[in-house]
Amino acid sequence: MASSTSGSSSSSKVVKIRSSDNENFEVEEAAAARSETIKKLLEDVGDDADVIPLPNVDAKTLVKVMEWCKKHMDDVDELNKEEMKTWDAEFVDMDQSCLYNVLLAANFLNIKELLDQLTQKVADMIKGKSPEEIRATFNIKNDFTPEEEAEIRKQNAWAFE
Amino acid sequence: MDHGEVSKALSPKSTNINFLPQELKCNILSRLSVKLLCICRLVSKEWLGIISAPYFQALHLDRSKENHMLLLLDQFVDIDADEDDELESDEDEYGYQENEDLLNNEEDYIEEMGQIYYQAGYNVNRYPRKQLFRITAMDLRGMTQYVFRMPVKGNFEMLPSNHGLVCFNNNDDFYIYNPSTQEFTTTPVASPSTCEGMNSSFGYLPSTREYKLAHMYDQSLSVFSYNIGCEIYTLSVGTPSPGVVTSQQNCWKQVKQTCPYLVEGRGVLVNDTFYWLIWDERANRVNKLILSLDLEREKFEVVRHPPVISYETGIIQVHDIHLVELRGYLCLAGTYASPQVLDIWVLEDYRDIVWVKKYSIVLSMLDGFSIQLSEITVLGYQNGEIIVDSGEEGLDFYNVETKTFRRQNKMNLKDDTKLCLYTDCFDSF
Repeated sequence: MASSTSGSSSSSKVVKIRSSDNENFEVEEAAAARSETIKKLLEDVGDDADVIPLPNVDAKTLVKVMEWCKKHMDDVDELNKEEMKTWDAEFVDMDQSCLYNVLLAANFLNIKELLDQLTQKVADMIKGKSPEEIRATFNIKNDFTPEEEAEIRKQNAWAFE
Repeated sequence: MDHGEVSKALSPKSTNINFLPQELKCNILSRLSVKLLCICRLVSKEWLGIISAPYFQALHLDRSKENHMLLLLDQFVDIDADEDDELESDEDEYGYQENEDLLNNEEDYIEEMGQIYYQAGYNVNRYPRKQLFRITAMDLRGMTQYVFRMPVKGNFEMLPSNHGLVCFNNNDDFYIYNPSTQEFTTTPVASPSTCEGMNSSFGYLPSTREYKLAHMYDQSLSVFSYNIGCEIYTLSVGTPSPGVVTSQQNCWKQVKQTCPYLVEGRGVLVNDTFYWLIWDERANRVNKLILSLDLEREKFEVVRHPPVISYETGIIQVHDIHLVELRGYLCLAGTYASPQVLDIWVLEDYRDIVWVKKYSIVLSMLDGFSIQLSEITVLGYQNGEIIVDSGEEGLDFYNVETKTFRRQNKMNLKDDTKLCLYTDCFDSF
């Protein structure tokens, strides 16, 4: 499938974007425009655009985000939907710190579909866990007193059966 | 660059969920069910705060509306509990879940019922047979969320609101239930009816965040005529706006006008108005098909209906019809025998009464469909699909774009299972 995404793009326009750590990237416009933020910037500056600076996204995160955008550049037909699902599932399967960086980038770049996939991924990581396991997974400190905890557990007891 | 290399590039400021902006935390948590969120309340003070905030609960509700749940009600005769009147003693055997509200109500229930029948002057069995009442909550992929059983007496009817809460009607007793939190409440005692089987309907008004329960009862002492009273119970789940008087809370409010016709089926509440199908044995139903009750003006009116009835002969051309709400609009769904189609008419303009035939669905595409045996019920709409119950083991989903059906298997729906959709939400009483 790699050939179809890169192959179809030979004739398309390329835009330059710059990461927060000053690395420049050349990306096909159709891929970059998956980001509403970049799309808006491109519309505003028109053809005079030199390099679009993205001060909130570092190079490594940007590579990851653009990998997703390139894959999702073209409309997917019914046949390839399943394949795309598998690709997406593998894409979001990354370690937590990476996941949050890409999540923040998707939020800043306003890529709704990617944001949906990533927030859903984090939500799925919460499912099926006890409060203790959730705290351990996400490195969250328990700031309740034992009395407070007992009280909330009592109020929500039905959910723990 | 492969995934591995990217993963090493950690930005220390955001290696942890705690550093995500509030907006993203809300987005993540809004994807969980009410039940899971109740567990999440125990994680930290911050999570407890997010989950309890009205803003978050509204966001969660918006997402739930695109992700309906299914509630099933089955009733069985409880053979083992024939003489035993003590409810608690059977508890382990059936794995009953405690529910104080309903168990307590069971106590006064028999007395009240006897009273009602006594007042009505009818000689009926004061002690209907003991039954087991079982409700099952499942998602639309057929995944069971929980099963809840309890012993009851008599038959329960399920009145959906097309929103979070569901009402159960057992003669003239009403139980309002949130399937997401498994909380029950009861209404004050409803007016007694001299005739059984009168209509009750439940609905939700998004504008005021109120649930409305309409109860019809016969006041006539004659067996040959009806005098149908109607009363409305309002349950508010929103925070009242300043200056708005909510004096009608927690009591039945009588509708001034009496109801001019007997009605049937599940009533539908849209735009502050209840709609019902008029029940009439006689054949001529021209201009006598749909009845409305404007809750503000408290006025019953016959509503002009779509041309499902021949205006010349007055004969209803459809095999089967019912009302349903789809995307906030009142719809009339009619199944035709020849050709075998399901037509859905939408009341697009409820002031000037403009009906538009929006969908015409060919039923032969449905696996196992038989016009004589199958009863088609439209349950709702979600993500471009009309959800249909055709009496099969699983629900059918009609894609309005591709005009095709898919069936969700593994739901194990039985013939006499009563079912409705609900929205997973925190609505509380």
